[in-house]
Amino acid sequence: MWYYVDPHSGIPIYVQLKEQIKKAVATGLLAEGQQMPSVRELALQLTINPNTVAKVYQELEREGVLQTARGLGSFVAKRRKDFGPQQESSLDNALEKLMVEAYQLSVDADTLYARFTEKLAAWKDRLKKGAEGQ
Amino acid sequence: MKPAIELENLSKKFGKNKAVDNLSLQVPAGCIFGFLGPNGAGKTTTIKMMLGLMRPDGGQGRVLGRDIVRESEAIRRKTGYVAEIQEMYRYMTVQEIISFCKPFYTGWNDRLAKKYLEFFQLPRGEKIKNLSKGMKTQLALILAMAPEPELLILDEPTSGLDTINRQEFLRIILEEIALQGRTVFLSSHLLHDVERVADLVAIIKHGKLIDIRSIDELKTTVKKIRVVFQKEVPAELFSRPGIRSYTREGSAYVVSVENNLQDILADFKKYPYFTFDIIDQNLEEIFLEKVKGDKK
Amino acid sequence: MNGTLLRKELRETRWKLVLGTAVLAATAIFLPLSFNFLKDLISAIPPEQLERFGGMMPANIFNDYSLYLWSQWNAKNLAQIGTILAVLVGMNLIAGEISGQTAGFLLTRPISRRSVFLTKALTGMLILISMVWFSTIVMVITAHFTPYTVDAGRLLLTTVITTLGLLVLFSLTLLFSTLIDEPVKAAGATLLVILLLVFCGWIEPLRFLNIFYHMNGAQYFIGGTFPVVSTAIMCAAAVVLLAAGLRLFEKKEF
Repeated sequence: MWYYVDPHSGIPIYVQLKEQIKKAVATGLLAEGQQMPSVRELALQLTINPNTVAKVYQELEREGVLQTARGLGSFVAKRRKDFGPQQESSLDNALEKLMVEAYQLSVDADTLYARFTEKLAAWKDRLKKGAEGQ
Repeated sequence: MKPAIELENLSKKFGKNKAVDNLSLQVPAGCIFGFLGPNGAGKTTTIKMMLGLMRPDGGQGRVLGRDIVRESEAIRRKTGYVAEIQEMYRYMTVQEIISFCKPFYTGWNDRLAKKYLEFFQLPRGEKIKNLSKGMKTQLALILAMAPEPELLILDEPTSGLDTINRQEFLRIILEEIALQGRTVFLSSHLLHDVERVADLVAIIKHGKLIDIRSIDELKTTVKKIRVVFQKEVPAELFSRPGIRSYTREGSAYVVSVENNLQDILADFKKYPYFTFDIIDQNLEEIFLEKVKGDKK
Repeated sequence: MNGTLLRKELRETRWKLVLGTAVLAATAIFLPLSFNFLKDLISAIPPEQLERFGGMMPANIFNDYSLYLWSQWNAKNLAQIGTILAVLVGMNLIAGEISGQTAGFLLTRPISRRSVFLTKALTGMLILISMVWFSTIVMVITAHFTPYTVDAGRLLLTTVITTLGLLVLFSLTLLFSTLIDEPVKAAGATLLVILLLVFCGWIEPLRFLNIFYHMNGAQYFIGGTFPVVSTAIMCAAAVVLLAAGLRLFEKKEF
């Protein structure tokens, strides 16, 4: 079983589960079109509230990570190619947070830029390896 | 959807001691509700009033849409109950207590009873007095679930079970009650079980409601902020609504937040700091803080 | 009335039923057969010596077989053993659920308090009535095998009156079983009240307080007139005691 939640952590179970599914999709562990376990299955396997699992699936569907076919279950959605204003604003938000944080930590712009490029390269590498692995 | 349980200013006194004190809460249908409180907080008294074993001194309550005083029998027809120490007729065998309970209900599910007797390996011919505490709890759960109740009330149900059995117990409740869209009212001071399965929790102390929120909300908004500011910050910063308490050592602060976390974070970050940590709180930490703090 | 609860109560009381029936039936067989023996014994004692036995066993009862049976059964053994059995059957009905901590289990079933109480009361009464009537019929049948004639009709009708008295005592026990959470203490309290009533009954103007005075049916068996007043008093007492028990039970918290 890939999924693991720690109910006694301070992070809500739904956040833990959501992150794990997103990670699994991002790393290619869950392929496009692959069927997700049913709410019932996952809830019983993890011994967690089915409403929590349903909430995770709903949020992931809204975020475009999963797709639900009525009566058939949830599937990993096709990676979204469109980059609309909504996506743009959430990216901007994330970037701004990063810069505010850097400012508070007294990290200057050059250092931030250097670290960012470094991390981005590593991430690209991982994505490539993941694609080859499949 | 109609709430499964609605309590309004429910009160119960024993002599001068207010066991339940103006308790109001709503439990939505189909959820798993964790009812938390230290021992003697009034949890069992509340449950006994909901089931008609005790009469409220004040206030009112509805369970499954029915009045807890006037329509108690109708409530019990649709409500399963497992008490902390469920004493049953000791001389009866497992099969005999099942045969005793079955005729009280119209929709007794024999298949479900059989399934879990086998699952728990409870011998039908064994006398109840020879069962261990854990086996009695398992039997009580079967007797509570077999009538396919709309609402299952569990009062400290897992205290007699070991870790493995507790997990199994919870899984069965998820499978047979929660996944069928029915409501679970889980009273406990064992937070681990509640934390795992509950959507919504209420914390009571001295018969009073201290907080009622979803666990997710509690865990996302109740945090500790540990911050070391670079300069002196105004004291008003710590009197914002949502901040429960704070401690200070020089320029280092530990701030307990119970609401408005995002606004508070934004405010704090206006001041330059050396370190800034947001510390997650699990249910036990949240519970202890609330119960400890809300002294009369 | 609730069938499954009735079955449970019958089961819990079955040993009392067996034991009570055995004791009463044994007495019921012994009494008709010992008439000759006792008659000879009494007649062997000179009349002036007999005086010393006081009214314990007036010699004239040996002139009438039916009168003998009545005096030994309705006025004595049935009343006394029956009282003990009434208390034994009633003491556990409510208090037993509380001392055994099963009340919470029973009362969270979908059944009204009223139904629980009335089912329990009815079961106890049924058991008591079966014991009394089984043994009384055994006595009448045994009596038929003796050379003496017995007025079965009159004895049976008197037993109706005695039964009614025993039901009053049962209702009193049930009230105490509801009031006191410990069966043995409930039984003790009931017996205490009964004794108190008997003592009060020794004082002539308070004689009506003695339940045994009403339930032996002397007015009917010796006097020949049916004791309408006594019967009415006992009926009323039973109803009042049961109603009080029910009210108490409905208000009780568990």
